[in-house]
Amino acid sequence: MSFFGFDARLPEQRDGGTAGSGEYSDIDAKLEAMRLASGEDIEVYTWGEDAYDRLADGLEESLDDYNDDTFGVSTVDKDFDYSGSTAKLGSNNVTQRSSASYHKLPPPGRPVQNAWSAFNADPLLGPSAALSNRAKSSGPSTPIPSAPAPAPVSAPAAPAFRTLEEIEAEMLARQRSAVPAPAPAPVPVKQPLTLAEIEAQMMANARPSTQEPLAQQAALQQPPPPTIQILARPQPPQQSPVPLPARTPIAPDALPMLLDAQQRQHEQFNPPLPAGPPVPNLAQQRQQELRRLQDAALQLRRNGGTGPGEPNEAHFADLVTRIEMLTKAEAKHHRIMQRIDLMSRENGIMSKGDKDFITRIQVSQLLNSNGPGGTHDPYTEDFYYHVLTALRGPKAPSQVANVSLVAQAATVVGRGAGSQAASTREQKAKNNKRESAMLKMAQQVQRIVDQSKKKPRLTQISLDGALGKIAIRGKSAPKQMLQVSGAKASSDSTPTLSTANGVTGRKPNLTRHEALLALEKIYDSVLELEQLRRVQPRPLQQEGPDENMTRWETDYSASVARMWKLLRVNDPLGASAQHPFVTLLGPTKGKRVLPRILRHLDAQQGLTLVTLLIATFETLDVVRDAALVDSSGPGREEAEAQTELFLGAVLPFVMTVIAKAPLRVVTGMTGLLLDRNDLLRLARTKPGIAFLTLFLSRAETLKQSVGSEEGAPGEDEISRWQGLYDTLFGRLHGNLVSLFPSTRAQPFGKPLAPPQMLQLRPEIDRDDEPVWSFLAALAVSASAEQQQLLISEVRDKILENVVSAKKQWVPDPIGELRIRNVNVLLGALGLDASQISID
Amino acid sequence: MLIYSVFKTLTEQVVTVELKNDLAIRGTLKSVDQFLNIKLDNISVLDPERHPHMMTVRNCFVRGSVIRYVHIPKNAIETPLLEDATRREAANNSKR
Repeated sequence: MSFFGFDARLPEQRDGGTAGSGEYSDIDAKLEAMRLASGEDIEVYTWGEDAYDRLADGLEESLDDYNDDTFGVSTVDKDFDYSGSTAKLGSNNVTQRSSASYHKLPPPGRPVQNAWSAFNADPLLGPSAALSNRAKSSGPSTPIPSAPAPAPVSAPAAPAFRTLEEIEAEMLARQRSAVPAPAPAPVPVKQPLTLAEIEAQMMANARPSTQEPLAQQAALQQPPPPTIQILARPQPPQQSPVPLPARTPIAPDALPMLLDAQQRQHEQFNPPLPAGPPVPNLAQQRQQELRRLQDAALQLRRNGGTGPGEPNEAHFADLVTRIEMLTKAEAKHHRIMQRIDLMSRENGIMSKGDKDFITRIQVSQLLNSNGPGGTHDPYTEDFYYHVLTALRGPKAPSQVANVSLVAQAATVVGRGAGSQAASTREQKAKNNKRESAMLKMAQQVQRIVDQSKKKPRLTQISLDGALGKIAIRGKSAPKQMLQVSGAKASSDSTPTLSTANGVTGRKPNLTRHEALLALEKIYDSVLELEQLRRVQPRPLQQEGPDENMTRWETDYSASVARMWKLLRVNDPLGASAQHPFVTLLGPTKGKRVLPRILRHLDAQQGLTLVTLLIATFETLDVVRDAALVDSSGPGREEAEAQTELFLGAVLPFVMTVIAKAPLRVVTGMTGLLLDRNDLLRLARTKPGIAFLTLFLSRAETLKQSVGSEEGAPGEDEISRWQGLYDTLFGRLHGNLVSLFPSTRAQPFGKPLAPPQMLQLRPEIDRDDEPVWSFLAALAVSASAEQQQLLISEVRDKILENVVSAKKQWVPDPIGELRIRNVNVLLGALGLDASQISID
Repeated sequence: MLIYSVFKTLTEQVVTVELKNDLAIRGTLKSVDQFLNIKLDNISVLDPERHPHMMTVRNCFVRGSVIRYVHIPKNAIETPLLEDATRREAANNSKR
């Protein structure tokens, strides 16, 4: 009744197949008894007997002929012979076992063997003939209990269930009986020794000798040093399942054993570590030292026992401390090993793929940090982060700084453009830059106005009350028209770029697409330049040529030259309707990059660039589309934004160039401006006004410096400038009012009431401010006659502003702004708005 | 690496991380790594009614691959510098 070869028979039946019939009859007797007791027939099913109804004969059995071919006739595979294989194990060990607890179990070997040898003889699995035989012999058959016998199953598992106590007891028993300890049988040789076994072995060896030190101590009759206590104290083995070196009884004779065990432990803890060699070496050294010391101590003890002496004691104490130290070191080492062991549980968590992935990242990082050029550049990978931190770093403390400080910083930045921090901060300060440029310009105008005030001027007296006088007389414009035409001759004196106005053979303008492409190249070269600036080697203190420095300078100038070529500043004028450089300045991008370009140019290049700008001023988009700024239609905001951008980008640079220029250059540039551009149109744009103001104020400053400074302009230069100025004034005269954005913004040229105007253009007065500055600069340089003309022309504008402010037709802040605006001009004339009386 | 570089500058800023499962988490960006995994602190979920299980969560670590968008404060980005960085990145990539 067993499928996988379990012996399913009752234990009683196992011992002999021969005894079987007797037992079956026994069951028959029991059944009989039950039948009698219950008083009714117990149904007994029998097969193959007379009462058998032969139902099974109807089954078709004829197609079984090839069963053997299909399923094979070979003996049953032993793959699933669990019971057999486990029983084999059991039969090996259990027979040798001396433990009493197994004695009562029947030797399992035989039943198992029976199970297989009797396989064919099994009543059910065997030939069909056996069935009838058995049925006959057993009489009324009951289902044979199929519970598997416990013994064959539990016996093989037994070795695992042996407790330490059992093992120890066994071994102790063996030692007591002075049997020369054969190796414990159940332990397979290949397996590492269990702790308990090591312990037991140690105990066995230590037993006889532990008595000795104790006896010696007693003989010495002195308090034993603590380590000796540790050394000599025998410990019950059950309490130290893990023998720590400090706690194990270290008896001299047992030492080799102990050390052996420790060594083995270390090997267990740390077997495959490839980086291991130094550690085991150290540990071995320490152990050897420990052993040597212990031996020495013991020797000393023995000797001391016979003849106590002080020096010996001292030596002994010394040895003891050293032993103590070594033991501690050993314990520490052990702890480390345990920790490594703990951590080694995580070994192999990462798959090989994971490791490869990490390695790839690391390698790529290494490659990137030491780029192919060989120069370490943290900016290559992490440009944004590094620059922004550099940028934000110094910003934090100055966050509370007021506007003037920011403006100051911006100008500082403008000069010290070399350093990294400055260059980045400049970007940040870009928005403030225009403000500061305008501020500076206003300051410059203010300065020359102040200086002109200091000089007592005869004309001033005649101007007192001029406003009133002019008011009575009215307009006087036609007379001035003559002056305009008369001054035209002086424009001949202006040195200009060759005006190659060949209408034939003009190249087409750069398309927007081309311009953008070119701009990207320019950006790349600018970035390259800025990178070069960052890696600029520090100048060495020592004498002689600095190799790095010269190489860097070569690189740098080559780079600048490349960029200069990309800018196409030197392309001939008039080759196309719009100069390529002007086209490049068209897109926002182009305006943005300009200040960064300018930083790298030398003075000559800067001057060339400014000259080009002046020569092509009219074709600049900000001038071309200036009408949009005055309109209130769509596109105004865009045009205004572009204008602001242009001013912010260009003005500071032009200012620095102009601020160093001698009067000759200023005259030349102004002449060029007048020569190549429609002055009136230009003067009605913000950039135009700004440029003109710059030139005028610079010229005035130079004029005032005559005799006081070196490099002051000579007489002829001044006279040339004066001629140019007259031309300028003549051309503007008669249209001065139209320079004001507030005038131009009036629809159909009709004046609007202040509230309406404010509604239309709330910022209009601020837009007027540069114009007032320009007029002031104009007035400062003007002759008395010119001043009078000027005043008479803008008189209405002045009065409009003053009256609206004083009568509070406009909100107070705007009123103040208007008074301030007016005062800029009036101050240049030696007047003040407060002097104007209103009816 | 550019985006990683940008995100490094955004630490300690309040950002909103939108995940591919439509969960949007707002919190202080504590750290970010090369995979753009993100660590957030003091988080709040934009739609707490739909995600009640997130009510008690105070900080979290988001795997980079599940992020759809990160909303960042505008003033924390230096646009011209970012443009430059993009150009450099493009230049570096074309060089290789």
